[in-house]
Amino acid sequence: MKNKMEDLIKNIILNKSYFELTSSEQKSIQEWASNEEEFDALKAVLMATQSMADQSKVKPSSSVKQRLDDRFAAKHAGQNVTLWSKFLLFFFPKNTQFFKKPAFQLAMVALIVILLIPFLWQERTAQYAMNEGQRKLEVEKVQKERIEERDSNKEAGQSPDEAGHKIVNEIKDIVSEQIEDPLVEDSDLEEEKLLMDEVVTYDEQADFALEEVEVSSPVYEEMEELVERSAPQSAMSREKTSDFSLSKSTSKSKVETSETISLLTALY
Amino acid sequence: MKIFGVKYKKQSDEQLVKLMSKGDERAFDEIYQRYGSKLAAYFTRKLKHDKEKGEDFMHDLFAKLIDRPELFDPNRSFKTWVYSVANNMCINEYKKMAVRSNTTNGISMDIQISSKSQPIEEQLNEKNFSSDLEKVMSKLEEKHREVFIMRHIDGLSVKEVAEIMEINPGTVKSRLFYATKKIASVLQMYNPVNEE
Repeated sequence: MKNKMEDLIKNIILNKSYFELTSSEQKSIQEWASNEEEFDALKAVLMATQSMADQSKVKPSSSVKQRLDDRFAAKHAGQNVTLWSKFLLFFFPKNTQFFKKPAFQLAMVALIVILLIPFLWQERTAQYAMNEGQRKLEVEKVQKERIEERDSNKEAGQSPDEAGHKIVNEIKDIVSEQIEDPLVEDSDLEEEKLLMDEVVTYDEQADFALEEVEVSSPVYEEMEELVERSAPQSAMSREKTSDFSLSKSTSKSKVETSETISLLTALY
Repeated sequence: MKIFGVKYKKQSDEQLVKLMSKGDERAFDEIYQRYGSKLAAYFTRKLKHDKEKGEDFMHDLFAKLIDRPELFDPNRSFKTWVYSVANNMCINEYKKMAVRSNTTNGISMDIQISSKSQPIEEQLNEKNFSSDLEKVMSKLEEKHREVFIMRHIDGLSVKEVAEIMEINPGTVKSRLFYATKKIASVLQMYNPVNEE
């Protein structure tokens, strides 16, 4: 506070003339200068000290600095860090979490860039998704159409055997097309086979096969043969465990039950 | 570690000394830039305007700081510490000079140095107000002159002067007041304008 006061008085003396002073300013400098002469003398002294301070600025010679630099270098020669240690210290600073270390951050950025580069300038031809389910839908559509046709035939008085033969022939055509087509994979054929199973089961459900009689009907046997021919050798082993075999076994089981029932009735 | 390094210009003196003691050369450069010329001027003025001696003393002080930075107490102000060290160095030099003056067959060292300190141009230009002021200042008592120079020429605060001189701030103020009034009164009587 006192220092500030002192600086205030100094500023008043330096920046103002005696007649410019206000009553409060005169009061504050009263201790230092009671009249105009003292005020001017004080002003001259302070101005002279300022110019003295400017003049007394000595610029030390460069040799002094050089000697001090040499001394400093000699003192800290052992402590001087090499470029490599500076590099390490920068990239792997101590007391920081691993994700805050510049080395880790740079590595992550580099990784992202490397992963993105292959996708940046790649001219790719348009690759459309192949609709695998389309074929399946076609088959289902054909099935429905046939069922409808069959129903209509039924109504028209056509025998089921004739209609069945017609279906088998159509399916035969589809399967033969698939066999001829090299692009069709085994899995597709298997699917076809499954679909055919479904056709068979659907036919059974639709009373097309007409109970036990149908089991031994030539249409069913023909279908079975057809499926067996269409299936590749590799899939033969799997066939045994597939739904097709199950459906086959169920049809056989149907025969057995009918036989047993007939036997039981005979015994009775 | 800061990405863009330490901003030395913004660091306090105490922080710079800390960095310097760890071997940071740039911190030392900054300290030298801040105090090198000031201390050289201080020594030159205190040692009877002997510029070479002033530079040597300044060199010795910085050498001391380089060799034993632990001498500086970080709890203290560096400015105060460095000026008090400089002041003590000057006191020791005065003592040595006093011993030498007793063994130089009555030839006063003060006269030789003072003749150096008063260049011919300045001696001829008696009307120069600054030289008049210097004359008046030289006529002041040592204790008053020191306080006046430290406060008005070195630009130290009353508190800093008190710490360096190891005296009460009140004493500094009273000495300062006395010195200023004395100089002003002498210069008022002298009145260089009337002399022309």
